[in-house]
Amino acid sequence: MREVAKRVFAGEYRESDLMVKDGEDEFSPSYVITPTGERCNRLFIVGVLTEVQDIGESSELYRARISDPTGTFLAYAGNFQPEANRFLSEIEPPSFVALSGKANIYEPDENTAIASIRPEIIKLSNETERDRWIVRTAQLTLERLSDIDKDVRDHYDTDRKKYQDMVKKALEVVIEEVENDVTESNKRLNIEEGYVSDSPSNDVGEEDPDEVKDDRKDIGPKDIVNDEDKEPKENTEDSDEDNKEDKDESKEVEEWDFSNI
Amino acid sequence: MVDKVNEAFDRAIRSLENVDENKIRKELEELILNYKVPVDQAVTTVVRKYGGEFNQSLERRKIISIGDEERGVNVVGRILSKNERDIVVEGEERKVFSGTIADDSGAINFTSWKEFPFQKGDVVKINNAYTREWRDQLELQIGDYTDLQKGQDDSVAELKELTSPKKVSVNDVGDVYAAEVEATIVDIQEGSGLIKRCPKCNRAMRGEECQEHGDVKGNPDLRIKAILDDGLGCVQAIFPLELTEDLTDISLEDAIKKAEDALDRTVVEKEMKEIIGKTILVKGRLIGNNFLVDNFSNPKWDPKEKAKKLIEMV
Repeated sequence: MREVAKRVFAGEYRESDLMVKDGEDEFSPSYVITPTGERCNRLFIVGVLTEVQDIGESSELYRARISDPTGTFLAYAGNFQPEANRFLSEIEPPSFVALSGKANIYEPDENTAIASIRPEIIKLSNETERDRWIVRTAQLTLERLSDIDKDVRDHYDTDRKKYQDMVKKALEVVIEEVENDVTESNKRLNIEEGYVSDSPSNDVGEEDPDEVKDDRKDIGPKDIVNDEDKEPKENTEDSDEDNKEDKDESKEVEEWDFSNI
Repeated sequence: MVDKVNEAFDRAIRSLENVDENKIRKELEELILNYKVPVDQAVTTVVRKYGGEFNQSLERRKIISIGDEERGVNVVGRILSKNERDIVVEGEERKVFSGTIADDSGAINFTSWKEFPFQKGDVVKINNAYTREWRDQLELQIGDYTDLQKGQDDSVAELKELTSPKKVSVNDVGDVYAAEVEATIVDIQEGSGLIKRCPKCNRAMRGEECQEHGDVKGNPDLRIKAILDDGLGCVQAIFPLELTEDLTDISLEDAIKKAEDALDRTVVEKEMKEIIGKTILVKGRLIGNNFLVDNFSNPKWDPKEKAKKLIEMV
């Protein structure tokens, strides 16, 4: 059976430090357990690729940062991920990408656990698909929040409020953006006249849902300007990680019996 | 879990007379909640213990509630499709009937090892059938001890209603006759793109050979084998020629030209991978392990509107 590609926000995924294995042998699948209790062997994300760096020494190893409204995913593609590797060697960030890959946790030192992704496939995407991903991920996160497994709560001491706020923040980005895009010129006029909101022209964008069209080619810097302030603050984990040599192998952080989740 | 107890209780009580209902409920609770005994076994255990005749004729099951390895299953449903084929059992030729039967709750494939004198559209009352899994899918088995009767036509929804696609999540595509699902294409499998089909059996060929008919001149065709994933489940979906052309914007003609230019058929499959990441609404049917797509469209919802609704719920 193929593993389902789970939908988790970066802000939640990056807090994960728990990895479990479904069985004893070498080929048993492993899962990253997130603070709301999602069991991820595979992930699917659509976000903004903001940075690609070749950090390999003898051979190519790309580190990519993919941003969503709640934080950044780290993806590492080496020789064992030829398709993703090729994509990352050619792409110029920023751009919208869709990625599916394997969930993983690195432990560069005792106090640091970094949840990352080994991409299987990365493709160019667009704003509409990104918005759909945010909405779907929000929906699934809220569903998980309503029923978190006790073992997961014990491990993470999951703060429901925090993840609800995270979901809200992500959804607000979807709502704001469309308004900005459609009414940009109207707004500019309104500013000159001294008022911004409550103008009837602000509702233009709501009239026609078909306005949101699928168009893969329409990817350009203008679409992601707003993402500047959404970039997560770099924390110490990242500098640690820059110092260490990123190997494409994971160390498991902890092994618990989570087979009942 | 509590639902399971209720279901078991309803079923058990129908087969019992003059019993303390509280006691029955308690025992079922213990078996199902504490010992995690499957509902069917819990019901049979309790019924047997209190001397009930496991009254099969009383118990009509909703098709959706039927599980694997069950006996004494009674359903009333409408035949959605029916095929017959000849097989040889111990040197003797027998007819085997198979198809799909549905009630208002869902659909299930069946195999009949005895004469099955009903046609597509008929309502049939099936008593004392059993189930087993066949190629990962649940099947209702009609054997020598199964009783078949014509059922009342108005006891099940019309054929048109039953065969219309039902909105489900990817996990549940096997529970309905035809499904409508929204999911994302997260991968394109090998064997997609430009393929050749055997002119005799129409099966996809490997390289220049048909597995059955050997060296033949194949007919070109396009298809996509895509993994559709909605975050809760995933399934392999097959898009036939026309849908593949629409989805990828590559016509069969284009594809043949691309392959000729590159001297390599797989360039088409590679190019088709560009649709990975797209979320679509598909209608189709699960046959075996494959979801055969009849048509697809863009999702109907507007992300902004849905985001607003979700935010209100938080």
